[in-house]
Amino acid sequence: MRYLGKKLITLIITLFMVSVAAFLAFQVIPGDVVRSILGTEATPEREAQLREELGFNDPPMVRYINWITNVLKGDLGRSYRYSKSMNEMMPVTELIGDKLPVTLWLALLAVLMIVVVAIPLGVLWARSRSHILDAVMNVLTQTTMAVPSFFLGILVTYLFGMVLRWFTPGGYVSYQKDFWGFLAYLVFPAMSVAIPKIAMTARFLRNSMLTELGADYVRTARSKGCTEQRVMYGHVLRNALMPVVTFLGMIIAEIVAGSIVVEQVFGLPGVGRLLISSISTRDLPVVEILVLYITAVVIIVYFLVDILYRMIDPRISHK
Amino acid sequence: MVRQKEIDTRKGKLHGRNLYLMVGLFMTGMALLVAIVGVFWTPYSTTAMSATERFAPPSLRHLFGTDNFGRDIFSRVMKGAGTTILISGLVVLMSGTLGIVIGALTGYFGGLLDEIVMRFTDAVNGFPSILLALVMISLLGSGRHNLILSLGIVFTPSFVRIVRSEFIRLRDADYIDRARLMGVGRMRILFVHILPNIFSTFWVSVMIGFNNGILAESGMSYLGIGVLPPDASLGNMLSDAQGYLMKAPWYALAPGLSIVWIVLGFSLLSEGIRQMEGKN
Repeated sequence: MRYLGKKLITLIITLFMVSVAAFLAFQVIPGDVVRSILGTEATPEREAQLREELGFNDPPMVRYINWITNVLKGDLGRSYRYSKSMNEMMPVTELIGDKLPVTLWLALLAVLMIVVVAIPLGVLWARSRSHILDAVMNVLTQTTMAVPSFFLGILVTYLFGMVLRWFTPGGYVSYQKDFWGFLAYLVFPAMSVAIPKIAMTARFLRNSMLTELGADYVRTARSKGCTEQRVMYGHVLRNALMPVVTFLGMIIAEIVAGSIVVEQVFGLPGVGRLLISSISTRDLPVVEILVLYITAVVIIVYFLVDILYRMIDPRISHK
Repeated sequence: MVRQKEIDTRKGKLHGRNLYLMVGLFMTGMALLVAIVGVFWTPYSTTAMSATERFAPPSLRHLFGTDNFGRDIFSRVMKGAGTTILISGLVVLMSGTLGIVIGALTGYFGGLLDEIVMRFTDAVNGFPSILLALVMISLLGSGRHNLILSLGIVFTPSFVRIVRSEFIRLRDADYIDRARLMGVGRMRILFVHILPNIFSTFWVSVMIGFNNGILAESGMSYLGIGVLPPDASLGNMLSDAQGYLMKAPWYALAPGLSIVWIVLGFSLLSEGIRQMEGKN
């Protein structure tokens, strides 16, 4: 319990630091963006008015406090580029709202695929004595790990979308309209994110199991007459999975990043595409919120992995 | 029972020879050769268009076929691979140098500065490098120079970390104590006595960093915020090719497989080096 409290405080401090960093990076360093919003032909009066509206005349401390209280209240600021009507800038909340679930589902599906495929694969690989299978798996995983997710996305589009015709490339179905159709389309982008990570995880688990197999407790288990089955699943796998949990936690961040790029390949209207287009048009308030958001997700996932790890391995709490 | 020897062979050592190292050297050598030749000579001009030869499939005339403008894809891959490798090389050079300087100073002297730098690198290391690079790009603007600068900054913490831990390991070694007793200057201890001893560890991380650089560069160029057309880079070729996937699948395969070739070559090479070090 004390541990949890300590971790929670660290979490809050980290989130606070991240918000300060995001604020400094996107609101203080870029300076005055008024001209880039209005264009070069605006009158000085209009510029001054907008500057006052955006609160640029306040000192940075005040601006930060205003901004963070608004963010916590759910008002995420306004986009410089998208407008709702002639004189009203688009609130970021509205811009992001329906895009979040797309990215979250994509990442979730990818994580699910990794866990379901990589763990049995790693166990089978560690158990097999066949040198041929070993060599094949070695080449296969090494190669897969070298494929960038966007190229994999293109390969998946070509193979499953154009040759086998299992899905229509670009035929994204909105989740509000047809949830199952949406998930069915998402399987392919999720695959592109997951495959390299499956190779990594399977490799990692297999090496972890081979290391555990050399440990003393395995010899003890065998000498007291445990079946090979029980040694493998009851003893070795349990211990070998420990580092894999940490590893999975570590690659969650990469999965989120992979989703950002893969969205572009499959034309998914998720957070990633919005991020890329906002970066190209230098729509900083949107970039700022998206970065803050993705970072917060990653930090919270790390936090949860930490807690989970402690629950699986009671030894850690005694250290 | 799995014996140690069996584990060894299963980890990639075949009959005492280091297969990873050999294959890695071959693949990396080929990639570098093609990229360097591409700087001086390509079979066709990389920008020459030909209306009659659009979407020609791979043949002896055009090894990887031609693209939507009738440009020779093999020539463009040669140039593009050069661009990608050069950018990644510069990124590693920049972040590696910064990493050595910062890591050496913080690792050797420790203290408050070390504490601050470590908190910072810990925080940065947890995040996907492409996201951080995107943040940097959104502040600096896109283009080749900003890409190198932002990736260079983003990759620095991982080098700082490795160099720092090596310096901490060596700073209390006997031979360093003796050097200190003999009155050798601090800078000389740092860069003449300690630095050469960390290179074996450092090289492996350089290669991993190089690979991450290739992946990040091609990813960002694919997204249209790295190297911009008409300059050829493996990433932006892929994004062009995606529109003609049905008509000319070879257009996407050529740059894509080139990326895989380069990255695979370097990761095998680094694995091979690690095993070679392990043996000694």
